Amino acid sequence: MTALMRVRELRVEFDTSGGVVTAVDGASFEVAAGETVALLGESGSGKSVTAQAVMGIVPKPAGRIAGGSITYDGRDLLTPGAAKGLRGREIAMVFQDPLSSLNPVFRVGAQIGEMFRRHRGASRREARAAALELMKRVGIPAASKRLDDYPHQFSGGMRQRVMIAMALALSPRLLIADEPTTALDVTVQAQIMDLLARLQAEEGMSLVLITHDLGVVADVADRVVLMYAGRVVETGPIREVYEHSGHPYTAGLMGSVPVLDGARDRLTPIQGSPPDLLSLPTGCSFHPRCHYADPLCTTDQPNLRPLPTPPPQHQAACHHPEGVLNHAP
Amino acid sequence: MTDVTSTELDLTTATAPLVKSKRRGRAGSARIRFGFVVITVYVVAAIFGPWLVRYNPVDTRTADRLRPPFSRLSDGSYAIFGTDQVGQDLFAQMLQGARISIAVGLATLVLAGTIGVTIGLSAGYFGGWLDGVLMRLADIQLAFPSILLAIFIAALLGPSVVNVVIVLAVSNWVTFARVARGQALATRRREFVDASRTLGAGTWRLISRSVLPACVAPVLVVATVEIGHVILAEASLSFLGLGTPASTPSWGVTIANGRNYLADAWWISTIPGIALAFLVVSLGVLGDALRDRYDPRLRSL
Amino acid sequence: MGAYVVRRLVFSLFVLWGAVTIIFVVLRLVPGDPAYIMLGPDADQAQVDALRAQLGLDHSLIQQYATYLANVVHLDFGQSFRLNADSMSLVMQRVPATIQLATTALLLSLLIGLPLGVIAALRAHSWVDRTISVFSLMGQSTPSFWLGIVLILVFARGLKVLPSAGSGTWSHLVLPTITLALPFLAILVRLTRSGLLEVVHEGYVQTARAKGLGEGIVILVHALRNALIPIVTVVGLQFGALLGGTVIVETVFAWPGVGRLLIDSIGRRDYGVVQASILLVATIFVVINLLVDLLYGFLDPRVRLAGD
Repeated sequence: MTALMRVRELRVEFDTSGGVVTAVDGASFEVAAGETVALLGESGSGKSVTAQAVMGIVPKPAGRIAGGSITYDGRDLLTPGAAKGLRGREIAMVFQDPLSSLNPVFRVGAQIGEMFRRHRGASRREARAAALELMKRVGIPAASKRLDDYPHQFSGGMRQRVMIAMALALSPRLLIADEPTTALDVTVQAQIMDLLARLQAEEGMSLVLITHDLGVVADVADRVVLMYAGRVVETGPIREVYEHSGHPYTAGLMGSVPVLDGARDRLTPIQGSPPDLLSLPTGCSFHPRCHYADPLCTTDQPNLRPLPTPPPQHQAACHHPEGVLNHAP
Repeated sequence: MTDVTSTELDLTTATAPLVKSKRRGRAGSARIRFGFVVITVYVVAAIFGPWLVRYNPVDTRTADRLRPPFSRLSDGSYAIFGTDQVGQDLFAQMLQGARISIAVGLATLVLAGTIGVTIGLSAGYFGGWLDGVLMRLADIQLAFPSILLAIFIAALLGPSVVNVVIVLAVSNWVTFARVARGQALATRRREFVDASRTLGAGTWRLISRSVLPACVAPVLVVATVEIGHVILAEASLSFLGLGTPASTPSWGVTIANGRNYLADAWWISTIPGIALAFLVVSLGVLGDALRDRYDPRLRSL
Repeated sequence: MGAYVVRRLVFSLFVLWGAVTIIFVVLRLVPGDPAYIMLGPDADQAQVDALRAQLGLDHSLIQQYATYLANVVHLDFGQSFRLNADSMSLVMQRVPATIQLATTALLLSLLIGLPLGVIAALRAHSWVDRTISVFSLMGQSTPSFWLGIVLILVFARGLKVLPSAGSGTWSHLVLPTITLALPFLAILVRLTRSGLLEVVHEGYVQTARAKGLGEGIVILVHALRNALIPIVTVVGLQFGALLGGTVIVETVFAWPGVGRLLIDSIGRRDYGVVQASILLVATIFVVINLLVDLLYGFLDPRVRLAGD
């Protein structure tokens, strides 16, 4: 499989009142054509900022891309103006909160149709017909009536369907969905995930699913990229990562960290609190919360490397992956 | 599974306000210093100036009429801002005018603040129909151009310094009432008020001990923002002949007098206007900076 | 939308009733006999008696109030003894000039204020923004009667390119319009700047960018349309200050509008005309605010659709 998008050593910084924060610190991963990749991590891990960097919408003037490269289909996205023609057409994005992400003062039909009008020069009538088609396709009931409604008149799930319709308008080859179900009711979450999976299969597009919740992506993702404190800490096929976590943080996210407690193993959640990006620990950022940490972890930052167990695509950034692997449930 | 969402700290939303507040904080202290320095100069000039540079309203000297700035007068003194149509030193008049402007501004704020805070506290503390009536009254007042009300009352009362204060206070109490009401509502909801109420403290005691102190800071901030508007309104009314009487050398009156001599003596109208505008600008800078620093919520008022 | 319009209409009538009542109360609160005050010291007894009868001063306060309300509803503010004409029709003659001045000032403010506000917001914290902000603060703090005088000094007396007073041609309109517009324009710049800065971090602005729309469309269509919602309300309220400003500007430039009639009538103690002028300007203001409220409903579908 050839990579459709490739992120190399990406570094994104933000100015804050406390100083410069490195939100993304040398993250690398790629997304193959037609593949579904889960970008996993807690808030502040840099997953959303990575997506913003790909879309070219890192908030200015506080944020800036300080290093690395993002290539899409062989083109460098970070050269000025390069992302402009691709944004919306080739690469589209769905955001977490559909209520705040839809413009409250425009009718949803117009917001979807805008894609055709501004990008394809379609007439008002053509754009309206195309928007209607899309709304039917994402499963909005009575779509022809709802075309002229405003976002606040929709339920959360229906709003997210509108967002998805808007993103799919120009048949992008890469769709980035940033926590697409987090703001929704539990009952609706599965429907939206099913819709995304179905549309991905129909369109043959690549899908990057950003989430903090492994459970959400378990059934749909091919691969997982796990981020912690701005760095990729583990990546690999989803089964492998699930069953043979190579990083203690992954193992913790899975719901348990094995603790050698005398003779028996006990399950406990991750201790401590998420890292403060303004004063990251030295060495491996995770070491203050890690049961396997030794002096090396406090001084040397581990790089991604293949785990001792196959396949080679399964990599973790940990000095002591053996310990984690041996205690996996 | 560990609940990672409980530690929501989304960088994209969190950093932007931080950057803003940092810049505003730094710029704010410079603005506050600037405002304080300028206003201190005006206040000092208003208090001590008239003692140093004598001004006598009946002392007219026709020989020194309409002298331009930096002229030497018949008695050998210099008029740095020139003289007016009756030979009065413009600088001395302006010092007197500063006294009137600042005194009227302060007196108006004290009166408007007292009326407004009383109404706002009653509305917020007692609530119910009283709140409804008082706040509708405030809405009407806001929906009515305040300078028209001021002109109307001033026209009936006639020009005098006391009347100007009454007129401007009547058209400026609403902002204070809104701030006080908001504080009263907020304070009333807090537990210690409930606690002291159950302990049998009287209404007046509650208001004076718990609600009133909470109003002090926001009311002072609002007063700083408002005083520039009040001084400007006083000058406008005086200019129209509805404020301070023509015999009182307030800035508005002086500027109005100079209108008749524009062809020969540009300075009579121009220089007091610059002094007035600079004072109002400084008060505006100080008011905005204090509001941004201590209570950004007040911006919407 | 229907319920919303009715609600706003009722509030507008309520405000007008409030204005009428305030005038009535103030007239009665001022110490002394209203008829004497309104006519001044040199009125003869016959005039005072006539006015006393017209105002119903011999009756109870409630009856006086009823008479007053009835007169207002019939637009009857009595005869102007000094100009020997019906007070209301005197005022009505002056309305077009005031409307003309206020409208051009409003247009000028919008034309300059909105773009300046947008530029300041887009270049927030840069030197461009600071320059615009200083200009805006000065505009708000400059006394308009003084600005008018300075403009006359420079452009009429100094450069001799524009007339200093009067009306008739477009050149007469220039200086009064600038004088009247400046404070309003300054406030508009501030409001637009802060309004835009508040929405540029909203999710839908990010969405618009992610949709691949040009930055111009993102700001001018998606952000500004939302930023305008709170702006129009304040603009409506500030329009009152602009109308009040016409009194000063018309006096400085001898512009034959309602404001100058008002000040002249105060000088002549012609209180029927004074009341008629104030109520008329208040009515214009209330109507403008009603329009602003309707515009608000048009701009924000959440408000428009809430009542239905």
